[in-house]
Amino acid sequence: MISRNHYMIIILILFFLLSVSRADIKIQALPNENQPNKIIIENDSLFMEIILDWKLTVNSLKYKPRNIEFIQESYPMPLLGIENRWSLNNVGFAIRTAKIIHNEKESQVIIHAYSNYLENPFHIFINLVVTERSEIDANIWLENRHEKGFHDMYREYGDDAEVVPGLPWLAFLSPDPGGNRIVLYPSEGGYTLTQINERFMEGYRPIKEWEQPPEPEPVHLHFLRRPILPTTIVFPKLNTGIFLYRDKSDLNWSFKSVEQAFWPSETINVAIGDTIQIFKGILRVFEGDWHKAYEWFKNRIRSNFDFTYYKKPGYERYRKHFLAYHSFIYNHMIYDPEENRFLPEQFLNKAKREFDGFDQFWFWHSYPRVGVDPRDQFDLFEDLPNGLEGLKEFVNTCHALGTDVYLAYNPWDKIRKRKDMYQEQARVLGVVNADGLLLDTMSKSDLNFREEVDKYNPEAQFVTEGRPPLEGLQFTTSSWDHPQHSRKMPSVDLLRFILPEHQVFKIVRWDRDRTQLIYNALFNATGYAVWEDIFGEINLQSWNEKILISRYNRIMHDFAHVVTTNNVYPLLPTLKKELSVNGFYADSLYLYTLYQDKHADVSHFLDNRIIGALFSIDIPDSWHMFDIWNKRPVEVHLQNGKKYAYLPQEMPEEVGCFVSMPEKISITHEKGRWSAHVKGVKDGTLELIGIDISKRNQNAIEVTADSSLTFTRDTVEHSTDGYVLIQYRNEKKEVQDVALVKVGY
Amino acid sequence: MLPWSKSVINITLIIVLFCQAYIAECQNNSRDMVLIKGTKFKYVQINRWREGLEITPYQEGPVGDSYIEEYWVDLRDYYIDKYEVTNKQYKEFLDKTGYKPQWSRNFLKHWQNGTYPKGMENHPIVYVDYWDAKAYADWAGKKLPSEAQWQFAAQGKEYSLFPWGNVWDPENANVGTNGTKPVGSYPKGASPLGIMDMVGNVAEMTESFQDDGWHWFSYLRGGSWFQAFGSLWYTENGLLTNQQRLKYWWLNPGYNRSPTVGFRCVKEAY
Repeated sequence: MISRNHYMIIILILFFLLSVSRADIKIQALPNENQPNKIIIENDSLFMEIILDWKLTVNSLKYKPRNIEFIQESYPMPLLGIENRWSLNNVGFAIRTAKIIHNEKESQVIIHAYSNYLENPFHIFINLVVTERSEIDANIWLENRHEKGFHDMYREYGDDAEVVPGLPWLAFLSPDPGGNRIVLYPSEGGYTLTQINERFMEGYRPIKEWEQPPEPEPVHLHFLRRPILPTTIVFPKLNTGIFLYRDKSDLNWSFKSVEQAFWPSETINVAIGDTIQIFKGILRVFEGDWHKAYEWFKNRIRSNFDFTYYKKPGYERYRKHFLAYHSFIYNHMIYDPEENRFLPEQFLNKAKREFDGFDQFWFWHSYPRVGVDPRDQFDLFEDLPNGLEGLKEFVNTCHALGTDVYLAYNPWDKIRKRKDMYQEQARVLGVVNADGLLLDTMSKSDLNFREEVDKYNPEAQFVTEGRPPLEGLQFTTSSWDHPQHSRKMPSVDLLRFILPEHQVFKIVRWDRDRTQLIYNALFNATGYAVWEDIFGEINLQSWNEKILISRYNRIMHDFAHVVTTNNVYPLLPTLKKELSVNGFYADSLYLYTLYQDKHADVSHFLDNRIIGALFSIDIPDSWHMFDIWNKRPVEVHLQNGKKYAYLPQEMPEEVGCFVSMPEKISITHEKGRWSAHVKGVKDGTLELIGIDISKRNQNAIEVTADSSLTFTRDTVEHSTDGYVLIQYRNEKKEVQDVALVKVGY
Repeated sequence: MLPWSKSVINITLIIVLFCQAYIAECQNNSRDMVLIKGTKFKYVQINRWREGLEITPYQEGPVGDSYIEEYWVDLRDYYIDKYEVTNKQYKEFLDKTGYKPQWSRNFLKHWQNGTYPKGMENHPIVYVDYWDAKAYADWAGKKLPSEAQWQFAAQGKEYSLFPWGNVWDPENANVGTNGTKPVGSYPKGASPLGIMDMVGNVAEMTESFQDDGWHWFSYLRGGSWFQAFGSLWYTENGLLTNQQRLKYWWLNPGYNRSPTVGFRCVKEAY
């Protein structure tokens, strides 16, 4: 393996779904399939001309019904480019063949690219399939066809010249390597073409022939993804766009911005004979609001999804877990070395005070300790205080305090060469009565593992470190999400909206400031993982963050019956450019999470203030609306026959959480005494929440719903705005109504 | 005073002094110790990059990422055990002191009926934790070595990757085998100062215990007979150079006592 600077493949994928009928498809390779330099795809609605030399560029893309030409005349759009790293021009990739196949149900073209240079073992295939459906199936893969033989060794020329082991030197793919390195990304009113930074690869020269060819090296793959909604490109002025559905890829498509998408690299070892999937998926052109395309894909995914593991008994309870704690059990908050015992009660009670409690405790015991001796991760479980029995006591104590325990599983730990890793892990889970497994380094599991665990605890859940592929999602009911884009607001987690059943825990463990990540968890209504001891490195949540997490934690739990439904919609249309809103809908309660690009100044001269009418809402007249994050009233205004959520003042924080529901709580006020009463119901409770929602447990005053909740200004701790929040819960403890009362100044 | 009495007294004094010296020698076990003269040497320490150490520059190393620290160290004269402490020596300590740890899980796990297996008397002691080792050292009038003392004993004044030089030779150390071997089994692996088994056999505890406010840890040196393969996520093990150190997180006694971890001692000589 060599360092990641040696190879880099930069690929920009932009495919366009064609709304064509089978009979109208015309695919031509010119002058012929063996020496192609141009491919034309045409039907009633679209004309596409692809230029092939040692890259693919779209020279023309017309949407016929509206006579839209997507490609600017002097800026052909790169689809996939290949950059070579040699000074010689004739050693790079080239498009070799473009084979066109017409079958009964589909037409397809298979483009094959490879280098004529012996050192470059990589072959790239691009397969575009057009069926009668209004979509294109795209499949791009890379094969390592390294062959034994004599090879040249090159070295870097310069002050830091050194022999760099391993070859070949190539595999630089970029959108437009031969030209101006132009890539496309969307911006308001169309698309923008931006130059990629130049890369200088001169200075390489052969120094030696080697008898044994070096081992193949990792390649770096780069992709473009839109930051806010990464798989969609929208051209608002054209009222059209492209939706890309990625079904499978060996790459981690995680970029927090377009700029970052150009150069962050991912290293993948492609062994001789191996193939990696660069992209497999479907692309579609759509007209109108992109939500229509999104809904189309959501339905497509869900209609082929097996929800068996999401419908198992007990899963509903797991789905309402939002706050997890990633432990390092060597920490003396968790283990007392002087008494040789774990401290679950002490730890969880502290967590209750500081975070309003953890739903899950992720028990991490092995890394970075495992490997010092022949004991593997399972042996180490046995050697914990009082062995598995002691761990069982730990788990039971956590259960009594309302926290589930997940055990870490390290698939890479094969010291003992066990063939029964799955069985052994499942056994330990069963013996200690744990609730699930934290699958370290795994973006997916397999069904065999799941079935082994089922033998001991069919309700146990898997949490994978990476995001599972679609097939894995079917039996992996929750996962981490710790790519960089999570901390970039307002990023939307599409998986969370497509499969709301799957819980995602937001994690960015190295950041000092995790405020944006907390906002991200609230905005997407996902889970959040507190990780304060990263294998010995302390990175505590600040007190401010703990307060934010407590507020987030309470809202998620109070409204879990709303945010866990399938009626969830990302990025609702808003009237404010710098406002993003997600919608979550239950039968009689709507919840909206908001994120605003907060201005530094409060000024009437700013024309983009997030104030006044914000976004359209469709609620009955009897419903009212509040911002329960900022504890502010929200008005409902009627404009041009439509109702809008209306803010008389700007939100004090970057995020907000609006709830709207039928008014059940009635408030009366007389001589400094307020009284709250719930109309028409007898079950449930009323509770009053003071200045900080995290302190609700200390400050809440609960009465049964058929009683009145009476308070004065002096008996409640109100917010800085003078508001107190009153919530009504039904017999299932679900919040059904809230009311804000201004008691202070 | 009688004329012969002065000679008797002198002879007696000589005998007494000799006996005292002999007893002291026996107590110190210094016949199995090597005197190292104090010096100033450049201490080079290779740390494996553990997630979280972002403020320290690191570079790619042979086993995961690592970073290097260098500074000058003044060492005063000291003795160091030529060999790792053996089962036999540790049993002598137990027999004479009746030492019993507060928590016994995995304590001398490989022993049976209160003694080491037959033929293992000269194998290094394992399945002892930091406190078990300290108890032995206290009894013997010694200490665990500092990391600098340990490293100087392994390499001498000149930097070398291994006690015998810079080229790895599996014939010189017990690494990647099935278990411990009698101390001194690899004479070609001796350090320039004649210290044996500094690489391999057992990873050796040092007097580097730290409480960072959240955890307890110390550093092991020299690697051990056990080499884990198959993942970069394993901690340092098996083949370690003179400069590499293993951050050993102390948890409960059952975790801490390991079949690959032992120790040797030092004694000040000034």
